[in-house]
Amino acid sequence: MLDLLVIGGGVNGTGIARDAAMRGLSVMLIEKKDFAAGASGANSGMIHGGARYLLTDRDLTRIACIDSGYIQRIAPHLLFRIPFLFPVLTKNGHATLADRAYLYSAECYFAEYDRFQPLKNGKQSALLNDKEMHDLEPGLAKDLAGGLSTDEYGIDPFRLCTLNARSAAEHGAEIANHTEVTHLLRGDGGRVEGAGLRHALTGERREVRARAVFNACGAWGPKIAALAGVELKLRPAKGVHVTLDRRLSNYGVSTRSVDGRDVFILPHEDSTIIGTTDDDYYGDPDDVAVHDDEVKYLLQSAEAYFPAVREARVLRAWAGVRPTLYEYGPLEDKLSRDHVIHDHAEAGAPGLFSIVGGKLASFRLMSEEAVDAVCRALGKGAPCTTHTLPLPGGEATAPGVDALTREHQVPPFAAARLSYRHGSEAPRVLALCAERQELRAQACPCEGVLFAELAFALRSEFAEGLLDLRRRCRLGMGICQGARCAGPAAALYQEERKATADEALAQAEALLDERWKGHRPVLGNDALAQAELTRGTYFTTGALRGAP
Amino acid sequence: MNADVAVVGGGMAGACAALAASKAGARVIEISRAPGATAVSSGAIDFAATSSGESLRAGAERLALRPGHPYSLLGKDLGAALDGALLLLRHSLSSLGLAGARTGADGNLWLASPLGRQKAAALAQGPIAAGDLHALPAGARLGVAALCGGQAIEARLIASGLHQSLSPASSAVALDLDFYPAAADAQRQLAEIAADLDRPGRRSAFGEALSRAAKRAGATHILVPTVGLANPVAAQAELGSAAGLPVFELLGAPPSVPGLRLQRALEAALEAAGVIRVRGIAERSLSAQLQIIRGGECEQVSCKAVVLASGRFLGGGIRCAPDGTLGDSALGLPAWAGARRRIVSLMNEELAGQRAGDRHLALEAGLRADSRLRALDEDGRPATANGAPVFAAGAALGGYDPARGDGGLGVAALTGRLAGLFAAEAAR
Repeated sequence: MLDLLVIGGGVNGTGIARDAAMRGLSVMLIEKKDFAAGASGANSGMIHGGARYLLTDRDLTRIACIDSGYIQRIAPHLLFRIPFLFPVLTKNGHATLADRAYLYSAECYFAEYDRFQPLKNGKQSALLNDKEMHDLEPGLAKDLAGGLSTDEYGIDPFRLCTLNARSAAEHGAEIANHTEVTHLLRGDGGRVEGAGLRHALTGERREVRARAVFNACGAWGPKIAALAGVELKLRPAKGVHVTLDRRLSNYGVSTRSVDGRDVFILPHEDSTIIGTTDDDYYGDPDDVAVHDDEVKYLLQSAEAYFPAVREARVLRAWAGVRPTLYEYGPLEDKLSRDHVIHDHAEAGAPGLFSIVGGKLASFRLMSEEAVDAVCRALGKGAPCTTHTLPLPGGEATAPGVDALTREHQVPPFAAARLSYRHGSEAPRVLALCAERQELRAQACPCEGVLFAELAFALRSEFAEGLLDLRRRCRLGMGICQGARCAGPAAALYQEERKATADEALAQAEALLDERWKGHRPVLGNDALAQAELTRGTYFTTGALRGAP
Repeated sequence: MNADVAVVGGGMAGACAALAASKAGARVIEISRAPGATAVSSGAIDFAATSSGESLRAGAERLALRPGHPYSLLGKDLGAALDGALLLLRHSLSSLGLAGARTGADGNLWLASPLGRQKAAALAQGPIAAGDLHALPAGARLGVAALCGGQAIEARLIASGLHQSLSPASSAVALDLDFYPAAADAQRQLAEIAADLDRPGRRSAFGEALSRAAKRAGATHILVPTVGLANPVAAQAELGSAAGLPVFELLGAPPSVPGLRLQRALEAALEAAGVIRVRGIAERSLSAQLQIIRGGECEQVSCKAVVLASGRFLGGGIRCAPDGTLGDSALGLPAWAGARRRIVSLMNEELAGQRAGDRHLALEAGLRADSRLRALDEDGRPATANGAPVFAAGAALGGYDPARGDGGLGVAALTGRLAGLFAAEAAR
């Protein structure tokens, strides 16, 4: 019998599995789709210090900043600095008393936040005038009353979850993605003692017994709790982001939407992300669609502060469902971002725990609290070490791009991207090139993904298909959205998995379908041209679906 | 500038319109902004999907039953138009060794696709057409050349896909070559390989490498990703004699070598026919029929008929304005996606299906035309450019999707040729 079965492969589930495995518990992690397939992969990718909590709870900000510092320590390669600008607009160039008062209050606010910045190696804020703001970001709207700068960090959330899962496995946990729960096993007094599992790809069924079961399923959490007859109440909210085809700015830009909410323009890897919306969601978390009014809302906010947004092409729109804590009354945006750990013993399901709410940025701390609760219940487990022991690739400084390029004869751009995604493990990935010359080539030139990186993910990172490879390596997430890479990646998949041609091409089509889903809500002129080219490549020339 | 007929667009539809009008005695000017969809096409010219053994005409007539398909406009003239287009292409593109169907009574070729599927097309460039999979002798063993880098990985997928569809009568196998052995060779792109093969001595060395690999694998026929860029007929012959086996070429995915060749051959055919070619952006003129914008210059074009053969979204002929309104980019004529003038990106099944390969009316958007291929205005009447009739051809016409077997470059050639003839007639 295991100590702990963790259900859910988001940042909480993978974080809990890692923490528990490192404390010496015997652990299994299951996920019905793939790591970060839900809200953990559909957020702004920020490791922030919780500046917004300052207004209500200074201690939350302090804790968030400390944890942001810890994440820098354990995954230094995965974090990238996003300096931020908060522009204050004027009407027709004259700062009113209200504009100046707003600027002054912002100055006080960020001066307060500055006290916590050293905890996460963040830079101090600065009050900037219109000229200074435009010197930093020439694309900002004209005639600002001024603005503030501050400092935050971004992360690739998909890799964060994958690395947590890999680290858990290295500490002895069994990892099973593409595995869903069919039912919970019950013992004396209704004790939850494990679960029936079904592999989503092979259909294989099994039962796993565990002394504790952790429900870390985010918006799907209520469904799992219901299997134990427990009501888990959430107020789920849908958040939409759009991705632009380019880096629009060097700074993150904070904007005000038409209804007064904060919407951010974020430089993220080679793209720009604009988001997010926040609306109550009553639908199925497995079927979240983006509507064009949501896209227009985001672009309208961004355009007011950064008119050049309209020159970029919107690559796609995507959505996730936040597992926000239940509260009746407040507007979505005012709901608490706090988290709660439930022990369902009193609800008649001892052995079952759930975690709900929270933020990506504080996942490590939340996992620590969650595993503390399990350890108390089980009466075993060493102290937490997730804040000191690095994630895979974070053990040492990543080798320089020049050295990787020279030694392994790969394009410098691909070496740079590989070094970001894999840190000190980059040479281990590139060592695969010694097998065959071909693995040095780029499968996805937009994101600099080498065939070797795909092979590594298929062999060592629990990737089962092209959609998993997208999450591991950003395959197909660049400007052509899969037009270049779906075929080559399918070919590599076939080799690595000894699959049939039909199976490999089904993988290519699945990637194209998933990319199309994000394309549909943003079908403007350029998106239509791209779709014509992509479909020409795969369905006209490639005859992917065979003869009509 | 003065001309009888002004053709906007220099891809397959525009070239066929200009060639046909020129042959009919008109003085023709062809205006194109840049290479478009034709230049990234695969090297296959598809008129209609057919089942194996079915005639092209039968396939085309089936498409003509679909409301909105350009073939549905042509009534009983469709068969003659099909024959005429095949003849025009074979005649004008002889430098590519174009082969396949001679008339509508013939069937499609079945060509190896870059994904290892079989792609049906009426015509293809010589080295591609020679690889008609349905014409392979029983017992043939097709060796797919795996050269270097990503191409080598893809070659193994192609070989396994073809093997699946060819067996048990014949088989396919990947040929691992030692032609590009260096680590840096992994980064070579197909167009670079094609250019390399055109260098003195390289193609015969490649042929010898193919011969060695084919012997090892017991291949009887060889499929290569490219024979070179410049002269496909001579290149195929050279490779074949060096390899000692028949050598065929795969269709190309963008950026496609055969597509580049096709574009060049069309341009050469236009030059040879005496068509005046102008690079620039064509737009509506207040004083003449069209004006051409080139950098800071603006030149008026007086003509007696206009042909819009400017492509769809990829070619730039059809634009979707920021508010979703569809129109042609030169004259601003209305375009439709199904029954809609605007693309509203609501989650609307009618305009955009759920899966990438589904039918999407948004991607079939284009101009409407009458049975004489005259472009129609908002009220359904033939449109004019300052009094001159306007014809439409190729992807600028709505109602067909090459990705769904509705015909691709073949529809462009067929409607282009007709639009050119009609325009020349109107100019007389």
